[in-house]
Amino acid sequence: MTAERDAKLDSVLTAPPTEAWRVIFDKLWEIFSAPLSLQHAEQEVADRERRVSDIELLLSSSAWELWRDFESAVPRTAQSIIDFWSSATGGRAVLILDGLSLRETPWLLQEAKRRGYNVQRAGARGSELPSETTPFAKALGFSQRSSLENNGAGSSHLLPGARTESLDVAWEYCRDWIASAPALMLWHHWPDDRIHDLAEPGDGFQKLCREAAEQLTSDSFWTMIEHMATGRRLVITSDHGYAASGMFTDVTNKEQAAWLKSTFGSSRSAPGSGTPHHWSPPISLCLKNANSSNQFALGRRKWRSAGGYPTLSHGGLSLLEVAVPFIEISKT
Amino acid sequence: MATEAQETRDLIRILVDLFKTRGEHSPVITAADFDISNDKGSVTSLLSSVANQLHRTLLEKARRNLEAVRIAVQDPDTNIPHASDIISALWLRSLSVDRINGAAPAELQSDITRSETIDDNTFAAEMALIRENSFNIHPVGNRLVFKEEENSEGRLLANAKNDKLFESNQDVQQLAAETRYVIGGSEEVSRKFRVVVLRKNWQNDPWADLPENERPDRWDGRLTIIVLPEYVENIEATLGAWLKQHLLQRRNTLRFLLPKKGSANIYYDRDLIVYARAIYLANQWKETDPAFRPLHTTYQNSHLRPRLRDLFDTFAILDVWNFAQPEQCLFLIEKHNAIGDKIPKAMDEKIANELFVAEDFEATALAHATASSSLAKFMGDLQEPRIDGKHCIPWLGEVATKENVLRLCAAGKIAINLRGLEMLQAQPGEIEEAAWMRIKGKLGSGKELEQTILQLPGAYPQSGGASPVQPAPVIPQPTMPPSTPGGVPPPVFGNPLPAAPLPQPFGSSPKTPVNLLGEVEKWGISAAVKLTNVSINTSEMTGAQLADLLKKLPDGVMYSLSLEKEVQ
Repeated sequence: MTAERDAKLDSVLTAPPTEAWRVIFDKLWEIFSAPLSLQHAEQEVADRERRVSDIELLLSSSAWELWRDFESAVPRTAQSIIDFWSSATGGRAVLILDGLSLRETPWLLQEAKRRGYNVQRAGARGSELPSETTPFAKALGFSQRSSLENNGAGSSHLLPGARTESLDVAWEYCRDWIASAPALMLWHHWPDDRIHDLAEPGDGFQKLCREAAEQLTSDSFWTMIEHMATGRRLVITSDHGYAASGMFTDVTNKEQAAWLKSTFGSSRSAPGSGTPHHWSPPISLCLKNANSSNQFALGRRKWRSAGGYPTLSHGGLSLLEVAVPFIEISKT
Repeated sequence: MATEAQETRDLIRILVDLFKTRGEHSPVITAADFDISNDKGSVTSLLSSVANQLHRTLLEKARRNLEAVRIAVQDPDTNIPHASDIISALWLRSLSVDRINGAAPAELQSDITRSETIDDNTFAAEMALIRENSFNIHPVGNRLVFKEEENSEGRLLANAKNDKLFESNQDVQQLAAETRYVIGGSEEVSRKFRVVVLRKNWQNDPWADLPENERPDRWDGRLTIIVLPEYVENIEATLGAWLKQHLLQRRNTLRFLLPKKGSANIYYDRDLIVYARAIYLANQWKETDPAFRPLHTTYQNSHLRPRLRDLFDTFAILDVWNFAQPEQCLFLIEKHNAIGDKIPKAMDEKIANELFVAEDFEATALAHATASSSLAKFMGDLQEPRIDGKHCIPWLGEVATKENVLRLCAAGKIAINLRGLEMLQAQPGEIEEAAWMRIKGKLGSGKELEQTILQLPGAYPQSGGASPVQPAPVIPQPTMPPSTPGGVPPPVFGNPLPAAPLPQPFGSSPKTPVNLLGEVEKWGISAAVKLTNVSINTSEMTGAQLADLLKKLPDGVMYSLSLEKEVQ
């Protein structure tokens, strides 16, 4: 452990799961919502990544059982959206930026303030498990992300009255879609598409840092936000985060590495309960929920796989894969 | 004198002409009075009598030799006042068809001595100058003979001393090339070092006269040694200003090699320049005249290179940089105590072992790791001088820098992210040498360095355990009565002694001490549990580690030890 010891985190080992997860998520928000400067963004985000690795070590090496209570103990994004949708009166809009992680939170908070928006609430929420797009879509009552396209989601989802769209175009083109409808639900594919583009070996993490800063402070993005927020309360959130898995430590035990490779390949989770193993602390966890049973890679570890393990990924059990920002803003 | 002369009649005619020309000037008529520079007179009459083409050709050569000597020697009227007489005498004495012709120097001295004595030393010096600059005088035994064929060395030197032939600075280029070869020419050196020998105008326009591939924009990753042609006074101020003016980047990478204090600029050292010219000319001429091949080798290996080999005895590297006032820059100026192509390595070792401060390097590396800088940025910063009056960290080259970075990583000071593919970091409980063996040589080069990120070490999740060990089947042993008198007798009347519990074996694959402690805990071994046949194995360790281990073993227990020692 290289960071200063935070006494608050001691309760992670002893407190009930709900309290333990609250402490963890509060700490995450404290670390990642702090302001960033464009000049030192890459270095600062990398340093935050290192700080969170200490909490991750605690969670994956001592308190891994907490993951079994994640879904019941952590306020999740999908439920927060549903609650927002049902509680807001008047115009409302939800912007889901696919794959946006807590790392990008400061740009949204800083720019919202700078551009004269009221931040009604902001905090960290949990994704569905596995931290993938489709489980999140299902949690909102959509069959999958693409079902939102062209307002094609029907009326069986949990956001009644929403005009829906799923887009992968420049922010300027998104403006054309934003009509005068009082209830909007826009699921944009950025930055998830870039996460997968930049997952090759190299400096994808740094490039994504720069690109995220550039996009989330751009006038075109905030012009789109202005269109969405005009006459509406707006929630900006995400379906899942992502792991900078290129910064994870390598599993050097050959037996463990072979097991991880055969179980997960280049992914962070696999359906089914998988082959049991005997290592302790565990290197993976099998979690069951109402719909499925999945095996998840646990903590900040990576292994060699065909074509090289992706340097950016999601779907496993590490904090920045499952924690996302949830920010509600309104125009003054 | 010659077979073609018509006996006495011609002889008289020659003597008459000779007397008419020289009678009033010379108290004694000698061979030197056959003045080759005078078209009229004794020589003409002699040649008209001696209708031998060889002799006529020889006269032409003698005249050209005289001219060459007078051009080559500075201030000929003072330094070689008797050149005409000497060459005339030697020429005449070389006309003989006898087997022994020509003249010993003493004979020539007597030939030119008229009413005044000619000092021996003065004559010897004058003779040496003439021989050096004349190319048809050949030594035969202790005699000198004027021959039609040229004395290759004489011709070579005569041309080498002719400044007019080198107005395009071929001599400077040749001398620089020879210097570069002497210091950095061998393959072993040139693989690691780039030796750049600056030219005459090094202070004002250092790069213009250099070949393109030696200019800064073409420098590769090798260590650059800049050879200065002269030792200037106030060297630190001069080099500081020079760095600011002529090098825009990588100012901290240069190593300056300086000639001995007090030595002249190499390009103005007459001997060095003449040798360089001789090498240059011999190299050109050897293609058409093989006689110059050995001369080329001789002047290169026996004259010029030995002089250059120990000429450069001092080096300087930047210590404190001052951009605003470059004359305030400070340099570390040291002797390297090596010669020739041993100089670059000696400089390198001295810089690495005595001038490089590992603590400064570590502090800078940690600062970059804190800022999550790329290795390329770290190395780029090291190649520039530090500002604010801080002492510069000597640049040891890319290879050594990468090794030092990996050493810091093995020591657990920093972590290195290799393009997201692998995280180099000392593992908990891992000794430094083991970490070094695991990570050495893993850093890439070129573009990859930009994607190699230095970081502070982070948390390192580890997991352990092994497949449950299957207990070995217990083979029942027949109970044997004790065979020794001291044995415990079986109970006769009931109350048998409780049977000793069977020992349960435990074991694990090789692990770190911390993980072994975890295993021991899992096996339910608390402080009071008695253990038998405990063995701890390791396949490899050093003597120091063994000593450390033995010191930590608890007292009151006897241990046995066996090992295999590697033969040194």
